[in-house]
Amino acid sequence: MKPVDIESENFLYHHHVLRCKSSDPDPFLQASCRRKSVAQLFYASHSLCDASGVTQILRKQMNSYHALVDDRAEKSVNNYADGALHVASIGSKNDSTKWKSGLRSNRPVAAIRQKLMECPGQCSYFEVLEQDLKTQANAPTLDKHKETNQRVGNFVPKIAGPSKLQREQSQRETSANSFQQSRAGSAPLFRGSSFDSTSDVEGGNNSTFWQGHHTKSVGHGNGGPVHIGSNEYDKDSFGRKSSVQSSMLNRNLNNFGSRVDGNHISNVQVPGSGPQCGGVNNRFMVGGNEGIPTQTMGNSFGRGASSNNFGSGFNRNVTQNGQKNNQNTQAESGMSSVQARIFKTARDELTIQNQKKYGSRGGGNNGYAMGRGAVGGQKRSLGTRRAGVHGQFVPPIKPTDEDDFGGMFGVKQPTMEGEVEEEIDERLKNIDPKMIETIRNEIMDIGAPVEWDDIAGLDFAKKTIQEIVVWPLLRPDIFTGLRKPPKGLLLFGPPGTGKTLIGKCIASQSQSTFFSISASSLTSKWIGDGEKMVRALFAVAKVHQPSVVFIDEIDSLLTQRSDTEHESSRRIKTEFLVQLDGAGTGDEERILVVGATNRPQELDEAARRRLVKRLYIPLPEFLARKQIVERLMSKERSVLTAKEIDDIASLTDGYSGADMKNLCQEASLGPIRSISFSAMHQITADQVRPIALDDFKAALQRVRASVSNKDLDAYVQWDKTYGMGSGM
Amino acid sequence: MAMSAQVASSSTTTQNVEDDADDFGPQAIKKLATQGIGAADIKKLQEAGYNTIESIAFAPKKDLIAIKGISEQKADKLIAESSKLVPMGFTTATEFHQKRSEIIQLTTGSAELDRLLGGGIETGSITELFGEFRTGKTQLCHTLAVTCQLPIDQSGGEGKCLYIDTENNFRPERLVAVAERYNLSPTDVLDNVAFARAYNTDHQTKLLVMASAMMAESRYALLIVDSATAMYRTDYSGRGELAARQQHLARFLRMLLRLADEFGVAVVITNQVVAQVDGASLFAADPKKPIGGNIIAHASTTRLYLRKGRGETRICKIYDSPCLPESEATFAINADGIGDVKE
Repeated sequence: MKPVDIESENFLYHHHVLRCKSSDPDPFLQASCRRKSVAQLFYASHSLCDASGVTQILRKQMNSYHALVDDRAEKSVNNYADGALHVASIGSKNDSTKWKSGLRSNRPVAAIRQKLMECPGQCSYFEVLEQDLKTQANAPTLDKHKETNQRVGNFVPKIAGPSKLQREQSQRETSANSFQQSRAGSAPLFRGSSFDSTSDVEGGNNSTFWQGHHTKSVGHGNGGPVHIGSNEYDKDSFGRKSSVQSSMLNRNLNNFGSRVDGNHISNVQVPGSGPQCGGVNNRFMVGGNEGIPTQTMGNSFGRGASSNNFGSGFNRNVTQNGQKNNQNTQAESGMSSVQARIFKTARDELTIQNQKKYGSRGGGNNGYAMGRGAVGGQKRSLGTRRAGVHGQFVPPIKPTDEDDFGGMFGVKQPTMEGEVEEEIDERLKNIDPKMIETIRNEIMDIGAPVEWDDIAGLDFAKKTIQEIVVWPLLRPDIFTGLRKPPKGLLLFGPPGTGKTLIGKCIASQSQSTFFSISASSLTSKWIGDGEKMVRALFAVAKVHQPSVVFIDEIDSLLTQRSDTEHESSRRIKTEFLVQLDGAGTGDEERILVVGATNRPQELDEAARRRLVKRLYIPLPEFLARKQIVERLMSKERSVLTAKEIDDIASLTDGYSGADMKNLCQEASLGPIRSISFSAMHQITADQVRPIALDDFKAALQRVRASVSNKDLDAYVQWDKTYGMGSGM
Repeated sequence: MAMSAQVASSSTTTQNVEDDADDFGPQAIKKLATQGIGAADIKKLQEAGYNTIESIAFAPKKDLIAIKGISEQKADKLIAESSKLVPMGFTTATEFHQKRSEIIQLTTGSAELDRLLGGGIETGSITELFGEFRTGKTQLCHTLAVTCQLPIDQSGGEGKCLYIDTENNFRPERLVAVAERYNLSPTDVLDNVAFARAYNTDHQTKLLVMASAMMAESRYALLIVDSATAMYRTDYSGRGELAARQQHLARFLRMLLRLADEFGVAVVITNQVVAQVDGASLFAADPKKPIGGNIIAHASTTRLYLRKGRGETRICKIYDSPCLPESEATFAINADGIGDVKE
């Protein structure tokens, strides 16, 4: 490209136009032409002489141009009210949160920035200018957005002779708009601020966007002069009626060492403060939108209103730079920033939708409430690393609390756990979780610990149980094959002989999972649920193996199957049998079913078969009875001699363990009964007479054996037929 | 000059992308600069929505010439250079089979539905969901928008999701619910979903141009258009505009296919149905047909017909697929997205 040639040609052309139309009544056209010619002149002169020379050349042109631009006559350039109000009224019904971006930049600001960084001093301005001039040369049509025209007009001389004109113009600003004064001479601001590249002006040009960004910039607080601008902007936007747009533009232009006539733009209101401003906003957008090949469909109105020209192009540029001030964070290309406004992240959308739902608490001032809500929503993301819709993919995995040093451990550990979970799920897959829960509740943690020594006598039974339960746990490697412990154990015998106590002892001594099951935990009011419970029981036991399932009064569950019984109990029984030893049970399972009953003869024969070890728990023998008395009496004050205890033991032949306990309780009441009723009030505990043999003798009259010999015969008979033979 | 500086800066951004992408995935268009394509031309191509070499290689010459500033000679050169970089010739079925077996499938959240689909929604192709209202189309889309972010070993895609909504029924809080089900950080999940409303058919197409630029920038696994045809139903009416509508729709679907090819993303579109009310179909049990006619029928690789079951259950039927047998699966719409039917 050879810009000089083109520019000079255009310069002549524009000059010509200006001459011809100098009598044209339309001040906008005039201003535009004049501005263009100034720009061309500047460019041409710049290529010929140095800055001071340029200033000299341009001063006259600029003065006349300013005169034109600042003319506040009714139809002159400096009167914007009509246009702005007209546009604003169009969009009065629109929902501000729905606005989609229109502006976009096809000119990455980063490039300019880079250039600026390379060139020292004023050289940087020229780079920007050159670019804009090119745009200008390609776009001869007039724009409706006169403010941009003016900007350019001011823009050029500023660069040429910054010091003098600036002062002059800032004086005029004072009267025009209060925002601009402070920033008249801000060349450093420009350099500092334009170093970040993101240009997001076009954005979802709604209230959320504007306010969100300015908050962002406040939050960043890292770059001196830039933040003077953005802070001010902040204030303005909260002030609602003040002109955000104008302040932004002003700042931009100040950055370029130029200024804009603020009162032209001051009609613009803060986005979000009402529907009016929506129109204005969009109008701004539209200008920029035309400047690029692909248009957004987001804004529905006014696109055709402004034809494309230099003004809109420059408008875009300027606003971009302004936006840069606001966003000091990311560096993105101009292209991507366009989409940033059209696509939003789902989170932004959620914020917006929430605002719609809950945000409009302001009643009449709906739009404003929404705007404020937007600020609140955006504020939460202050200072985070969120890059909006253009961020790279962030794996949304929640950080684990475990010590994750390196990927190896962090990854592997969960998968191991996952496998265990999987296994459990595999086995319990087809079972109702509620049933599993019920069964799990039957797992007995720990009651009062019961030692083997707490069981008096019954040495054979104890030895057998230890063989079945305890040793396989200690040496599972030895108890394999034929030595494999049996799956079922039946304890039978007259009532009160310690079958349940043995169960408790197994529970506390075996270190396996102990399920204490009774009929109530397996039956249900629903047909079919009982069987499922049985199934669930064994499945859970399998998962928690080694486990012991203790079923007290097993005859309630596994009585002889008969014609008269109910169908559902039959099914529970059969299911139990199947689970105990059926096609589905494996050899490697370590589940022991312990049943206790005092009616072994009523057991179903199939159940009997499956309870391989059948232990007769007989009535306590002489030694055992003696042991019981000694043990019980050891905790009381008594005067019993060993001989007397032997007597008691021999007197209580045929008594069960429970009977012995009853007897001792009864005997222990003897001394109390001897106390007279009147003495009962005063007597101290140690004054009570110790238990003597006479008490036992009296108690023997009252407490009788609960098991008759006839009953015992049945057990012995059964034991002979089916039992292990407990050495009796 | 300033122009070159611009290109330099824009190419630095693509550089980053390329670093991430490594040797697989789409090739950044900036690579063409090494093949003798001018930086200015690359810039023009980018502006026209061509962000990868694949997109140029796959584009017909006519489209390239239509770009402002690309002459016929330039287009020829572009095609020649890009086809050098993109393999577009023949390959063996073995090789292709190998490639296909490596294709990622995104889980739908329902094991049964995944089984029906042979693993989930296939990436690199267009999956069309159609059915009446309340048959779970949008819910499935919402769940997919989250599951596509799951790690690959959890049948996810480890990528972002791009969601184009035309019916205004995108609800981010549904994503949050699904994210909690998978124990993902809801904010990250939401940040990984790029959402846009489409307001008319042209806009809908334009969004895809931007989508391609965004996909060139970061890793996307899924593109959802919910629904693809709603706008066409109203933007074009009557038989008079039928041809125009179908052509436009075909172009739209072609762009979707291009994105699927270029970036390997899964494309999920939803479609509406039309009831046949003429005499012949009175006796048909289910007189509903997807709209869009043959155009959309041919364009979508897999077509899934959703219909409502009892309660929150929905039934998905494979309506058309190159490899899946015609069968059905039942899934459920739960509070935490698509899931299996509970007893």
